[in-house]
Amino acid sequence: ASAGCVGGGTHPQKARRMLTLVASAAYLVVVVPAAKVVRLLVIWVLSQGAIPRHVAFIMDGNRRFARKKHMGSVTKGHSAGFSSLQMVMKNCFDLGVKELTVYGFSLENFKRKEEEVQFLMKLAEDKLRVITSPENRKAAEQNGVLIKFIGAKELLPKSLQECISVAEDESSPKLVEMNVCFAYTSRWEIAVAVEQIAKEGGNITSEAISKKLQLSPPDILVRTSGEHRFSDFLLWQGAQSVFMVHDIFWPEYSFWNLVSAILYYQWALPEISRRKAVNMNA
Amino acid sequence: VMLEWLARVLWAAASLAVRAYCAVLAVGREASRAWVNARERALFGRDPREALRRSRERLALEKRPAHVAFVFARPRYVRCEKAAELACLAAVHGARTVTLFDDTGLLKKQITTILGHLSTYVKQADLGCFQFVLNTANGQHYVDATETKSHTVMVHVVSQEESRRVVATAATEVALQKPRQLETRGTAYETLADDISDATRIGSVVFTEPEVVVVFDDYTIIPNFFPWHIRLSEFFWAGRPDRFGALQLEDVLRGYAHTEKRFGV
Repeated sequence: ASAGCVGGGTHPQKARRMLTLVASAAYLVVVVPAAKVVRLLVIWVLSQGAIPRHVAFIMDGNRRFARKKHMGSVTKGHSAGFSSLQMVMKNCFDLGVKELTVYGFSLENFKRKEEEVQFLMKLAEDKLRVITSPENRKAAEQNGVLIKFIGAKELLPKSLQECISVAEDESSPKLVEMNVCFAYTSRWEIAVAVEQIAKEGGNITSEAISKKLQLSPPDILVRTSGEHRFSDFLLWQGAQSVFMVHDIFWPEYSFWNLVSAILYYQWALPEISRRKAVNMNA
Repeated sequence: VMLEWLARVLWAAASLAVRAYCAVLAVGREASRAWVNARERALFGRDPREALRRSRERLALEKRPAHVAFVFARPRYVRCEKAAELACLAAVHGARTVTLFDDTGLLKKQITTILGHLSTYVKQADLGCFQFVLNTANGQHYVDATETKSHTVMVHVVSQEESRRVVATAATEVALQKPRQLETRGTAYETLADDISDATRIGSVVFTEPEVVVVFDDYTIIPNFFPWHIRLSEFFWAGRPDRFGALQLEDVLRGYAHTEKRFGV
């Protein structure tokens, strides 16, 4: 049984182990730095054109991703979706995007199963606690990230509301803005604007509604999962924005998908500018 | 300076690659449509009745949209004849409300021309059972008001002028008539939203949410189309309208029939 076993393994096993070690080392020493260099190069090239100021995401497909990867539970898909969000945030801010809006939770999503809704609330609360921990808070202040939650917060659990109020620190210097739409729909936002205008005694006009809305118009609206609808997100502000649909699930969204969206935006920008000018004149 | 020049060259190359890719896709799509349309015409001639009959028989769907909107995103894409044809096609496939929209209001200015084309198409395609009513903010126009028909098809002809104004007007109406409904706290906003929806009108006709919106545009730019009403609409970007006919509408309707309205429910 011990024939051919030298130093704790047979020759083929040793060779396989050695090969794995060499491959790992090569990956760490060559591939990872090369990927970082390529990424920096792409960011540098992309910045020669116009970088969109505001990008919005409809993060669709977490549950289908969990089913596709046989994760066992759809809640794991949501956790994977949060990791993807962190990466997308980093990519956007590295590329120079100043405002990022994500559709975290719709008012319609309250109709989902109770356990899933509770999980999503708990996930949001846990992640907010991490974000607002002293070390992460300091990093956010240094980087100038302003986090805002837009939505019917009174419908959320009290503990989550407290976490949100801690996270929304308006005193931090603002370089980039992160808007999280939670318990939100666009109709809710428009209705709130109408309510405010009426209570102030003003005339309810489309211009007045536009001024009272809480979110600014996006330059690009991205949706994953291949669906071509807006699901009650940024309906009023979305006119004349580029709509990019990616036929992948949200946890699969990568840096290269974002690059393709921005390149498309840069291509369409002259036409968008022309239409906005025509609309203003009209 | 050299590095900056190099970056600009690389960016220009990347932009060119994107444009070339999109151009190839567009050419391929147009060529495919032209081929499909030519084959259809070769097989069944230019008889609109026959084309519509086959179209209806070919498409056995469980779910059909009641309201279809066609958005002409560029002024040069606005064609009254095509608009009339699309209204008839949508009606044959079960739509009882059709919206024809363009940003600058060119369609509204040519209501009489659209009426004429509709009338001609109704006679040619034997669509006498449909009563087409062209509805604008200023009033209604009937294709043939002399007799009662089995099916009424409301054709809204609108532009961006009505797009947001209808919401503001409806909200003002609700604010005046039901001031206590102006409450959005908790789930109270749903009542306000429903009231606003019920009060949005084009002329005297309530404007409903379109299930399908077909946008004729070269870019996937969101049109300035009735933002209140498109929350669950399925959008289809279709390129040039002159290559969009019965077969392409069938593809759109098939796509609509297979989608699910989720929000995860």
